[in-house]
Amino acid sequence: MTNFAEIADQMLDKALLAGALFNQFDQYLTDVIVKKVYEAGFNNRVKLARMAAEKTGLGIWQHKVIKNVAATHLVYESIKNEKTVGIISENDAEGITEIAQPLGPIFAIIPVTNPTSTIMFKVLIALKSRNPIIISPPRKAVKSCTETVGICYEAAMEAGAPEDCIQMLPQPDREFSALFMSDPRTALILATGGTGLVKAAYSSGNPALGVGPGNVPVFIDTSADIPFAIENIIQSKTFDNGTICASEQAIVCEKEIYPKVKAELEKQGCYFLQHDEIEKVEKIVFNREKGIMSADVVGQPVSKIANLAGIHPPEGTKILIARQEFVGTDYPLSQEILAPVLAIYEAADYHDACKICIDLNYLGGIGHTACVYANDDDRIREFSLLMNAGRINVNTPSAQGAVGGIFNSLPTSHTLGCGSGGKNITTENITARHLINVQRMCRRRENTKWFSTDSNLLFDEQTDAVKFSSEYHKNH
Amino acid sequence: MLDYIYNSETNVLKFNFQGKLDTTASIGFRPEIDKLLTEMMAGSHKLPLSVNFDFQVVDFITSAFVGICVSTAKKVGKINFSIANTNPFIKRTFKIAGLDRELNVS
Repeated sequence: MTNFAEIADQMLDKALLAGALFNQFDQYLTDVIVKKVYEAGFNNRVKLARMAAEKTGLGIWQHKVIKNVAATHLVYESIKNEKTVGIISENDAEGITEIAQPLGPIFAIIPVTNPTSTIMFKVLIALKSRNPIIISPPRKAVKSCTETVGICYEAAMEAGAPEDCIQMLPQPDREFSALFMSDPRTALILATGGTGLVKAAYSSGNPALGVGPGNVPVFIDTSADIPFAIENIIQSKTFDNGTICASEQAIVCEKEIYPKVKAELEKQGCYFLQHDEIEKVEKIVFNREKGIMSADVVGQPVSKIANLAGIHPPEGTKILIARQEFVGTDYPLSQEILAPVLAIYEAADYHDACKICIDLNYLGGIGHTACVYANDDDRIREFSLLMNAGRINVNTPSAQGAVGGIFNSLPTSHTLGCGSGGKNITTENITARHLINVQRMCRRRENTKWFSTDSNLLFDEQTDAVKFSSEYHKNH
Repeated sequence: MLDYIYNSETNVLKFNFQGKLDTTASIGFRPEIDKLLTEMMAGSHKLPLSVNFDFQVVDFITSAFVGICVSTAKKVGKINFSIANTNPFIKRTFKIAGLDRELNVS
């Protein structure tokens, strides 16, 4: 522990100095560094993806390549023109000039499901905002994280970034991480990981930007193009074997279209589990003692899950589908499973479908993501108003849609804010602009209504709100 | 090229730096400064050696130069080292790094 404390102390001092020196950089120098790091990350996308998949045993390396491309190319595209240094906006009419200042050392927690891509994403947004970053790698992905950090750091150094602007914990350990999270030199914690870690970040006493857990309902409306919807859902849920927290967890549709949805799922390679098979799958995908999904199935292919459960779906099955009647903690498959296992609900009608989606949304996924397939705009809007989700994907594969930049214009991000429902401060996709302090220089611009209202009214008890408001707006 | 003035009466060694004190410049300065300090500290002056870095025309520093500041302060003693005439941006850099008091920055 003493050793941990000493190492943490030294690393934080180095980060503090790197941050101080970074303060001297202008937008041009900053952008040169960001571009160089983006290019290095992009150029190593395949090697890093292979390493991540191999070492963690999670997901599909080709899909991790795509994640690495999103975390480098798409993130770079979304931030490259953003002003993050010095004066970033001036509004002469309002007299407000906005000035960006860096935050200081950022402590970044990396999830095992997306280790290399999350590092590149967080490094790019930290550097763009002139903040030093300290990476906390997951236990299973130390090697691929070390490689990723090395590539980014070398590129940053070549571009003239301050020394120690990117550091990584030499060893993943909860107590070690806790030292960084609670230290006053840490300016912000960027927490992407399990619920425990995110909670620890928020409880540390330092500002934190975290994510909440997801439990994404996908509503297929009667107005939807069903084959299109199923194709998109499969594309999302099978991506990297379902490791993205914004991927679909349960399909909900009205009984009127349920047979069509079922037939289309089967036609496109999904397998509907029999009653006894559902029980077997429930046992291995969910840890009832801990009340969370089992780590053994996260990011695993259908074949491995089937082996673990002792079931025999047809070869080449893309997703295991479990018909469910109820939503709740007693029903494991109504909860988040980051693997190609999907629940399906047959609702009596549209309102019933919405209510099931609300239950799913509130069962551990508040504030995260919801999804709807429909061609009736009124229903799309009503569904969106009903959901408590930072992102409501419309006719879009949820995982790819939520991350942003491919199917919509959301900023590409690997940290998806979940608002107060997920105990987060924002529902936005976290990006470089969240890593700056915006100062406002306020020039004198007098409020003429205020100065033209008789101030004696304020002290006259006979003056009520209606009278005062009338005087305040008079002649304006 | 290192620019310095030594006041033998007060035993004060004042270095005048200018421009960007980047890594390349710092690598050049370090052995010269170290050599001078070693020579002067070996002398038999009745007063302890004081070192002052004048930053009047310095507008950028790197960690390599901060390293020189820290090691010089360590050699001559914290109370005998100071950095003077910083511009406000450089002053802020030392402040953020938490080194302004440690290095007597003004």
